[in-house]
Amino acid sequence: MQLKMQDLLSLSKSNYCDIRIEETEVTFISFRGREIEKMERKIQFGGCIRSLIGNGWGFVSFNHLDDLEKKLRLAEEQASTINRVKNGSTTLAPAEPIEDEVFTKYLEDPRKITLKEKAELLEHYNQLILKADPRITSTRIVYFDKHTNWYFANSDGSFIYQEKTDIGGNLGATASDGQDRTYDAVSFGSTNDFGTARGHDEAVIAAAQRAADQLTAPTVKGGEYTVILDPEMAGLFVHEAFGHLSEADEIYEDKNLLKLMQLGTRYGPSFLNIYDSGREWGNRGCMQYDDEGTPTEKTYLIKGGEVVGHLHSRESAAKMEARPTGNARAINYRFPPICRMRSTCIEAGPDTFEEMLSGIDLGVYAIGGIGGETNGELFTFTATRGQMIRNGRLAEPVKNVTLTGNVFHTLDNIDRIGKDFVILNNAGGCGKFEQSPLPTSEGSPHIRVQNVVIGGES
Amino acid sequence: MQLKKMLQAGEQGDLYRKQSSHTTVQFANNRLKKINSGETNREVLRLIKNGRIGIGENTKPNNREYLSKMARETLDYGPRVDFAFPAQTRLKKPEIWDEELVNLPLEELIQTAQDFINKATQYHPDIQAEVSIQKEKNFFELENSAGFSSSFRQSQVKVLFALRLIEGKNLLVNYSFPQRTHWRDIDWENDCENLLREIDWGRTNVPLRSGNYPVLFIPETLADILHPVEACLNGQAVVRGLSPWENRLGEQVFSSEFSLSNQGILDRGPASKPFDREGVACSSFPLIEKGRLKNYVLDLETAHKLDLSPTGTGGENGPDFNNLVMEPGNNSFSEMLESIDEGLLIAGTMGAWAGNPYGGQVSGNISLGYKIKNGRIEGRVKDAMFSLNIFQAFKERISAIGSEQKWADNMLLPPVLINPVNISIKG
Repeated sequence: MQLKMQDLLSLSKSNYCDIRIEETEVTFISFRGREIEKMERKIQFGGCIRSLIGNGWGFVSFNHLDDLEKKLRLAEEQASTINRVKNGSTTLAPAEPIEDEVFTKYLEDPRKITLKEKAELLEHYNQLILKADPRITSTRIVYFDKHTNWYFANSDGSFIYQEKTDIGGNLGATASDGQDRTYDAVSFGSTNDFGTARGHDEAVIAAAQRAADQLTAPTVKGGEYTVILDPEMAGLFVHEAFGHLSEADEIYEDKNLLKLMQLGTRYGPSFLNIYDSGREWGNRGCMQYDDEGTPTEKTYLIKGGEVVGHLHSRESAAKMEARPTGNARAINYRFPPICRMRSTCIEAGPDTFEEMLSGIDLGVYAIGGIGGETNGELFTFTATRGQMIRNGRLAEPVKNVTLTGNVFHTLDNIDRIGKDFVILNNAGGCGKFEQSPLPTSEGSPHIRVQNVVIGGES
Repeated sequence: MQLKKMLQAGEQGDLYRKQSSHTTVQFANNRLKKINSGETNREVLRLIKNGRIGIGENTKPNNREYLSKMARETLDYGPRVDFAFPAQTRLKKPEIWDEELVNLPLEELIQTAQDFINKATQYHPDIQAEVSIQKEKNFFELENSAGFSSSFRQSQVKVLFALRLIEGKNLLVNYSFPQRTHWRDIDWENDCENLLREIDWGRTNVPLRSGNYPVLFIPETLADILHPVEACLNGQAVVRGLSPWENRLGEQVFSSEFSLSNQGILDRGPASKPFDREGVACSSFPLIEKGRLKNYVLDLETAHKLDLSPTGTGGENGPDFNNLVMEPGNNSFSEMLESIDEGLLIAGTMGAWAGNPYGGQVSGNISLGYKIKNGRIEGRVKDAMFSLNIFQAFKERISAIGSEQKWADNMLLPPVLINPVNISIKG
């Protein structure tokens, strides 16, 4: 493979050129209700060539490895076409050529577990959920493992082989009383350990119980509240609301966004620290090299309530006179790398949960994140469940807790950060443009935010 | 194809192949940024034996043996199924291939995008436009052990227009993503004008108090609140007992003004095709006719379980609509606007998909909403959320349905005025 790729690069007339070839083998299993829903095995094989000429990028992806030179020429022709329209020169941040081979250090390799054992484990969880409470009407269980052989070569002289593994699952319970329907789940994920799928017996029973108990919970009354986000919800917030804004390919060409995200701009309290790291080994989104062959690192985005960094590719780093941070990622060979997150975290703060509760006359505790969306300025996130906070104490459970607000105001309104930091590996993934789902993880302690709008009938 | 060679004794199967090639031109921040192209060749083998189904999928060339092996491995534990693959039938072929589109030179894609951006920046020099135009050639082929063997080709143009204007801390984003089979069906001029008009309305922020208001949904945002309707019509939800419309065919579920149909063989429909993923002929049929529930959307498995006929809407992951068409009313857009003393026009929502679709409750952020005062747009309302129950809204709260339908994704929809809708505002 190395020779084939390097031979092709030697024919390139580009200023810069890289080739990726990937072979991914996937196992997917899902259960719904009493029955197994789907079991599938896949081979996703293909490659891509990226060419930079002057100011233009060309990109060609394919399943067949024949006629590679023709594909290279097509990428170069695309790059030249762009360069004719906007003549100039795009530079990339310099990178030392790297020759390396990276193998996954497995705690437990999912390929060594038989399909039978995987199916039986999931069926076991499925049964536990169904039996947990008479109000449980259905389940939604999803499991996948992916093993990728990733080959990368570029015209700077790098050649890297990287073994990548991604394991994830979601064990969900749906309860219904005929009228309403509620949901809760246990989620897991890892980049090196099938063991992440084991040992959830108690957790799935508890999740099923919570889903059932939520049925009788009233819908939260819409309005503005002091809100405590649990680590999962806070992780969702930092990822969706701030992480995406830190992706430098979005920032460098938009002077207004650049102003909002300029280094030194203050957001949040002086004890707020946010980072994105590719080095939290075992967590989803973490790996040795990104899809441009740049070594990953731990990148601070906010330190002491001040913007101190962005998530860079080699191109964005050159444009913004920064260092590439190893954030250029692609979901697979069909897409070029763009600036993406890895494991995005709010660092632990000084407070206990009790300290965070104190002083809240009326508030909401938002627990678990079903999902979220943001358009840069506004965000909407839905919690799995909620609990009212009254006179400094947790009170009755509530459901349909959807939070919304302005990202920057919300960061400014963070007034307490817990000490109970955890990293969460949910089975979902991150979406940007047409590239979804990309494995990522999030980490956070509990955080408290003032003046958050919660939707619902008011 | 060679399905026969891949089957072993006692196995039924189908082999599906999608071959695609595309060229994409992407402008970011007003400048030509990328030209991409790609080819994919994906094949999926489903095997049924002893009442269980196994699935394998592959994009590696000359790898059919391994494809069979993967599908066969999952056969022992795969889901139990009881349906039979369909035999060959007569197929109607909708017009979904545009020779002009597939032969369109790269330069014309670039020029079209550039013209669009010029128009946007003429309106305001600080506008940042993102435009991507993708032209696609697709070839679908399906063969099964019951004798079905057919193929078709389809052309597609997928466009994304996104405009962003930041003034101070006021960030305004508006976008649309038309998708058609024919190049000339994209209305560049009109789409650009619509986006700019909405940007223009949005530069002034106006206050609004929380409360109940008449709300005008344009086709794009009507599509967002129709998702629960789609979910309830899906045969899989009916089979699983999730849909509240289980056992209710023939019943009045919505107001008699509301008619919705699945159109599978509409010429130039973005999701039209002669047969579905499983070899069932596509057709046009009513889903909800004058408020009455007429049909579910089914694939082979759900049709078998419900003892109904498959509807030509089998997808890769269960039943999937072709084109969804809502019948227009007879109110012009300006008449609808003028009829509102105080209300809201919702041009963009966010997070409206969250929550339980079968309960019909939809609540979401209004990413782009305008206050209507005395029949005119007054300005943008920020930090607002809407909340409504679609079963109630489409049964009792439709005030008017517009006469002008527009494609939003694979849905052809009119604007709809719903009154009242609950709006909550921050502050």
